[in-house]
Amino acid sequence: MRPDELSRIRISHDLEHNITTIQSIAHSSADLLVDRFTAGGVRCALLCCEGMVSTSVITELILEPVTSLPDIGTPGALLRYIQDRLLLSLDRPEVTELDSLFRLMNSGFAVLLIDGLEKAPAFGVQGYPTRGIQEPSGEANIMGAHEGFAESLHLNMSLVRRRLKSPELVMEIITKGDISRTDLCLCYLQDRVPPELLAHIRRSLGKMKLEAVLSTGYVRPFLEGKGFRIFDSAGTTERPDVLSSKLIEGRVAVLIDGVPYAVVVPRLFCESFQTLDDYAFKPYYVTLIRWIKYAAFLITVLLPAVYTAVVVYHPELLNSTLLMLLVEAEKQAPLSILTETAGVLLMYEVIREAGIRLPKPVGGAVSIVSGLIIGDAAVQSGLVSTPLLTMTALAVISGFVVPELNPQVTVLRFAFLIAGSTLGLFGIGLLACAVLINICATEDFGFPYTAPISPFRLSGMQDTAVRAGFRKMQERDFTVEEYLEK
Amino acid sequence: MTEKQLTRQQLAAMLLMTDAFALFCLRGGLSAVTAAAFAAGCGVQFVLALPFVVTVRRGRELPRAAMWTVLAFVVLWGGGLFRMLWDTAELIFTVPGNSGAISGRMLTSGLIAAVCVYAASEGRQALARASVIAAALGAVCLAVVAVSAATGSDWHGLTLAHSERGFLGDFTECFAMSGGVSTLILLLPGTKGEPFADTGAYFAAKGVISAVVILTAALVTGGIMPLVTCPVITAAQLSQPFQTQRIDALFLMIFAIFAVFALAVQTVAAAGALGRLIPQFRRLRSAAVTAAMLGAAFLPISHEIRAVGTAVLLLMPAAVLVTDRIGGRK
Repeated sequence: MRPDELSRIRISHDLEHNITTIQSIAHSSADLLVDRFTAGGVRCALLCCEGMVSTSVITELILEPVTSLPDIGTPGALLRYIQDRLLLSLDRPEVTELDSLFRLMNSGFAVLLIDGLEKAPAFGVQGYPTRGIQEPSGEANIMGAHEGFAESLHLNMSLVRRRLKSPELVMEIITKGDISRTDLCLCYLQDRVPPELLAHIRRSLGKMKLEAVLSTGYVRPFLEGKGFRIFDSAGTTERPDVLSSKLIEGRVAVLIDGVPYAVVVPRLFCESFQTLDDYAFKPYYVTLIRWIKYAAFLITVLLPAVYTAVVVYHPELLNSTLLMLLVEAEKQAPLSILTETAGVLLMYEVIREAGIRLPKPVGGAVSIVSGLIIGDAAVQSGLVSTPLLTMTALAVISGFVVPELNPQVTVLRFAFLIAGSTLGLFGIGLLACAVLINICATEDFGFPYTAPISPFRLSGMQDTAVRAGFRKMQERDFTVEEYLEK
Repeated sequence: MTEKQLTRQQLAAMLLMTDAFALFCLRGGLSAVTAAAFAAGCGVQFVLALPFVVTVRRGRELPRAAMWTVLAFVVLWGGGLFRMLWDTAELIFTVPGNSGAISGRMLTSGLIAAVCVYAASEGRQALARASVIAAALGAVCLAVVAVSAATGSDWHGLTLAHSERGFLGDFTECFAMSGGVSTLILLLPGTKGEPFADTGAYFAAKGVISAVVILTAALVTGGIMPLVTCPVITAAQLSQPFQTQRIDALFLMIFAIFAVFALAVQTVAAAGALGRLIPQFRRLRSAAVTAAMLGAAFLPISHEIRAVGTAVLLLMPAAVLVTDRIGGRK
């Protein structure tokens, strides 16, 4: 039954009718627990979902106090007594229809149905097992905190709140997914966030009519601009400290229950090259590292294509020593350079995918087989030339510097390789134009993805071209609204 | 939805890339006199553009007939750029030039046109943002070529360089190669900031770039100028910053990038103007404009007519101002 249909079914004053209806809607599911008892002289039933609640908390804080009540008389008096005097739980919403009842029950609440009442109190007694706080696996960091988001939404909210104790931090919970009924938490700093951004995000999330929300990928398309875009204008992070810094800059985050990542809007291209460690080291060092990252990005996308184009079509770009070296090596290889390069890159992608999907103990074996056996054997047998393997390895390793751009880098690397090997540098130039236009067309609710490079903001260069010191940056009082294009 | 405004840098980048591409394709002899004539031409164009700047400051829109004229000029200029691309493609070594089935320059021009259509389809704002980045990249590459030319060439070449057109002919050529002013007329009203400063910055940058490119070309190709078809392209091929390797293939990339942006800017500006003139025409405006430009590429329009067209276009807003004044007196 759909949520809107469920919300039309009201709780009736007949306890048995309510229980029958609920069991019928739940198809007598095995994890629906119904505990009938008499409290204060009134027939009641406590409903909860097995595995979602803490049985010890229910027994100690709800069942024992409620069942030991003296005869109160009417159901209304019983409800008032429970709500005003017993204070069984901090979180005590009241439900009047079945959609809320099921949503709360399946979120770890215990619902107390009272015979003769058309509403029921619910108590937050969540007790389901969750993964604890662990170090983030995808956003490694040396000097910062080592806490990452977990799957529990409320735990994630507390991780952010611990870092931003300001009353301006607002967390709104909305439920999405007709079947999953997933809680989403919209986080923002009220005094920092551009109001139009918040309004746009609320409107976009309102248009979301999914059956389930199981990962960030379900939400992101609704928070990004329309049309074919190579890069994501909504980012993700698994670090509460990174998220806190984004919120301070006036961005909006969406936390999803069951997902250890937060979606951050808007996202800028230059942010892919920034890490929290950048703000822990000396600015001159960070500036150097940042430029190395920019270079690494270009190397990982373009190196195989440029190598192929130069060797095949534009050898005059090489000096004579290097040219002779490459000619000598490629002379031995039996395949064309395009086939060789594409083959090596394809093998890398296969090995990478195998390494990720396989269980960790077997994943190690994949690296041994790929590195030692395939790599070494391919060169020894003369199937692949050593310079080409070196170039490809260099390109692949450079990609590790910006891991969050890996999907885009992988596809672009192949696209540029095809352009370079068929049309030379001319093809690379044309494809670069198309990609540049696509990147520049990417924007999120009026925030250009390429800011502050284009449209150019000199003040933005303090944390893009260089990393200025904190004394200088504190004068700026930056919020992302600076980049809003009107 | 209202269209976002361009910044001064974006406007300048879009227009300067068009002008730079036209310079790459410039044919005939170049000399220090040509550089002076082009610099003077840019100055005169700025003066002629002042009435238009005044109309923009007053928030006065050009009449529909004037807008149609500007649109027609942009289409003709776009066609002219296509023609320049077609003529120059055979002089530049591109890989399609080696493919047998389809003519090399047909493939080169076709691929550039295809990317231009895609660029135009992404809209004015995307193109404006990309233009700034591409122009910055192009400026760096041109600076490398200019510096390597200046350090590696004999300054005596500058005295050998000769332009058969003379100062007045070069001045006219500057006007003929300045079809970008029609794009300026379409884009300036949608630009942030002070129109006078925006226009002044554009013409100043155009004058400097034209002079530097022409002087560099004259310096490098000075001795062989009579034998050269496109001096700027030859200069890029001859001036090499390194002893043991050549970099002219990199100039090929810059040429391709500038060609794409030059054509895309005309397409976007014309499509925008068409949208204002015929609001009902929503879909395939860019494709229609590109088709019109391709058609215009076949029209035999002489340089003199182009030069006169540029001057008339710049003077048209003055006529609007005069009409306003007369209307106001009545």
